[in-house]
Amino acid sequence: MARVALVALSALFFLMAAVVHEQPQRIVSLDGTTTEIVAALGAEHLLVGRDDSSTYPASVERIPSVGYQFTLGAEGILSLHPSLVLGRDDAQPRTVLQQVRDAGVRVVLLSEPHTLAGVESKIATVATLLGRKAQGKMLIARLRREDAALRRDVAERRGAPARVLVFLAISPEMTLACGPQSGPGAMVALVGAINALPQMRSCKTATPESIIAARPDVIVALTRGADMRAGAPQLRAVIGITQTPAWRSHRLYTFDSLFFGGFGPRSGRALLDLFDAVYRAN
Amino acid sequence: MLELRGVSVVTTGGRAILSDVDLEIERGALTVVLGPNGAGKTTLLRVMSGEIAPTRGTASLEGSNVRSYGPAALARKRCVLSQSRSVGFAFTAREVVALGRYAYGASDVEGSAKIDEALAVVGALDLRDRPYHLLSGGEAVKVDVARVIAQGSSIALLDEPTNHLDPRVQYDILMLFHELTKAGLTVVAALHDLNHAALFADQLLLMKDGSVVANGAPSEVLSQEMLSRVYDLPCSVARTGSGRPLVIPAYFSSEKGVLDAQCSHSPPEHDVLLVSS
Amino acid sequence: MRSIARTEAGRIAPGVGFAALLAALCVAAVSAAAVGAYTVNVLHLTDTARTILTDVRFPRVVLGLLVGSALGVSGAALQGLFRNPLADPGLIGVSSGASLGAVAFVAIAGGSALALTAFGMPLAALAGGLGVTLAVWRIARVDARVETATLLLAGIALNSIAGAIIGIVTARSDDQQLRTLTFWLMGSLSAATWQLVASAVLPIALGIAALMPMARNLNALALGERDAFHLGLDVERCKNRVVAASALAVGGAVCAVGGIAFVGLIVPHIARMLLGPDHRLVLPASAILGAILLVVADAVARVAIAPAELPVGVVTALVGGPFFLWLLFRSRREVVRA
Repeated sequence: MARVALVALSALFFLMAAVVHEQPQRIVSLDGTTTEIVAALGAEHLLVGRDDSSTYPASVERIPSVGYQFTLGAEGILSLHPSLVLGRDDAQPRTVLQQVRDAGVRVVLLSEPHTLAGVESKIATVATLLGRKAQGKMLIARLRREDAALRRDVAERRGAPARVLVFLAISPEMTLACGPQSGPGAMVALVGAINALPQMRSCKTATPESIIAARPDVIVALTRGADMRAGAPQLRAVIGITQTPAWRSHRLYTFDSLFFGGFGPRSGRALLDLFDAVYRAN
Repeated sequence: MLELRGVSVVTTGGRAILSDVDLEIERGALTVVLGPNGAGKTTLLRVMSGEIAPTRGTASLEGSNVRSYGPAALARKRCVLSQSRSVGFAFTAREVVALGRYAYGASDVEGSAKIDEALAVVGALDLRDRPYHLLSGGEAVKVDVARVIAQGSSIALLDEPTNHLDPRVQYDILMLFHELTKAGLTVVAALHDLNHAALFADQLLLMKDGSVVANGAPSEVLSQEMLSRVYDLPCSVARTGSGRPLVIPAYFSSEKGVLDAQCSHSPPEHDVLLVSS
Repeated sequence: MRSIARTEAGRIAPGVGFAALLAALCVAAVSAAAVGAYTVNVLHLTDTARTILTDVRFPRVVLGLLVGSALGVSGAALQGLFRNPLADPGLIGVSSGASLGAVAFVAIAGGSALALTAFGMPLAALAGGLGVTLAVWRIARVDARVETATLLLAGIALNSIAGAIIGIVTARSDDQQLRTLTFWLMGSLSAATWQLVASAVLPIALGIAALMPMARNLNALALGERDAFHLGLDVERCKNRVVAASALAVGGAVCAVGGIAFVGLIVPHIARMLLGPDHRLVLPASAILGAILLVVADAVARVAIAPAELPVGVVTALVGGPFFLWLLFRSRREVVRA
């Protein structure tokens, strides 16, 4: 009841505000990466709704969630009175996004890039939409500095490239590993290493045998909300993992899944961290 | 009325259940079908009811092949009391009897009167609002008999109607059908009790291994020699004052209830008291 | 205390019962259309509010009514056909077949254009549902007769085969396809549009229209198939029609909203508890009750964690599970003779 009253009250407040002042943008972001971009552009206060994958920065978790970006409902989004809805181009169900458009709301869906150049253009697009081009340019400049540092590191490195295996989800029942065409899997090539499962295109179930056959020198495990750190005790549950060179040489690292595979403003930092983990540790 | 000509039923596995059965059922009579388990009594009734088509031969009802009638037309000509006493869902007794009127369609003007009449005939008016699945065995069979009567057909085929009933209810059911034959109903009943057959049958069919081995009046069919052969059970047959046979299996008259081989060859003749009628 | 409206067998008089059901249906539909995450002021309708009412809520409520009644009637008819109160529309393979069709579509054509997904997915689901039901049917058919026991077993076998194929497809799917599948397998009305209503209304209406006149036949079947034949029922024709019509109605429902548990199972029970077992009352009552249950469950799903949504299948199962246990408990106390 209190929640309904609150929604009603805030709706009323914003209706009045709309009459008196120039209308401020009200943004619903349906993807963790776009949420992160909006926040990085200094526009977190314009966010009135997010999806469940939006977990960074931690303060956005206070914003009401409209559910998961693949199980959306039109009325939940519209109840937040957004003027702009941002999300990934594979958000579901498609008809829901059409209904939101039909209600007169601008819906911008962006593809998920797998390169830093793609991240730059995504940031530029969002910055333009928000009228924050200056902040966008600063973000892009920082990404470029990180990119340049990474390229230098990669160029200076000597010796054979390492084989890296990326796990998206780990449980005894199912282990999803990421091939080179997925977001997390594409990170590997960007640091001059080899994805240990080249034949696997996206993130799919990996069998114990395929894990052993992949002979990874380094294993990266993605979990939600984890800081980058060495060691990954939960990986012991993955059958076959103890037979890998990575396990024997203790080359296992845990990353936050949004930080590592999200291809957002922090991706430059993530790549530098990955490079360090793969080539500078020990 | 009801006629079987050269009827054989063979299973898909090649086993013969009925072999070359020829018979004619008398109109307005109570015909009892006797025979050991597996003799083909139930299959015979299923052929008569049009439920299964004979492999060879035909069963005809009022001059036409039973199988040529549609299910509803057939249901208005013959009714069947099967051995099943189960009704899915909690229908009341009256609702079960009302199912007997199925063949008369949704606009069955005289249905309601026929249903209550049938309940009254079997003496089950007091059961009308009780859920069928909570009735005792005797009550359930009365309701099923009422359903069959409500169907309003001229032939009733009864498959072991007295199973699992106490002696009084067995008698009531058979007496009821006996009286209905006087009102013109033709009844064919498969039974196991030889003395019920002797008492109620106008016509008696004795079956063994898919064939009719005897067909006639009870006093002709129920002989010691015939029963011993068909049932592999020595019996003595007494006569009541009116000449009706009274069958007493030999183990009743042996000292410890033992069936000895001696007895089966020369059963004692008239070894019991005559019962006056 | 027994109210005047109750007959001696503990049932509600049909007239009173249907009046109450229709009133409840109206209340449910109107309140479901009135509640939602978005606060609509009917006196001052903004454009957005009007869009929400006409393009988001109304199609959703209408779809809920259609799907709920389809599941309710089919559940009642199949329980009658199988003489088994535990039968549910999933038994004849239509639900798992529809899931299989949808899963196959996502695996083959997932991520293609909007138009293809909007129309292709329901069509693939409908084709899968009817296809698997047909397969179940053909397996159970011997010499132009359908063995009901074999039908049940074939349904169980094909359900598990379909489940296995779904398992294979999901094991080979990537995480993005998996998310689409999960949305669909859980069942949700959130994709409701007038287009979807239009594509579901035909199979559902045809299915229900074909089932309603089967009420007397289903009553006769309560005595078992042999006795029903003795009563004058064309048993094979009746079975054909009930299975085909149920598959059509449930197929139309599942292809629009995915698999929704428990509605088809519990709604006929409530109908029989209120009005008795006569299918002439149970079928229409199940249609109304199914519509009420689904529309209310969906309203709960929409507002419980607004602005996010619960999957409606979760709500129906959450209501249905405990209710079903209560039914079991109740019938254990009531039945004296097994």
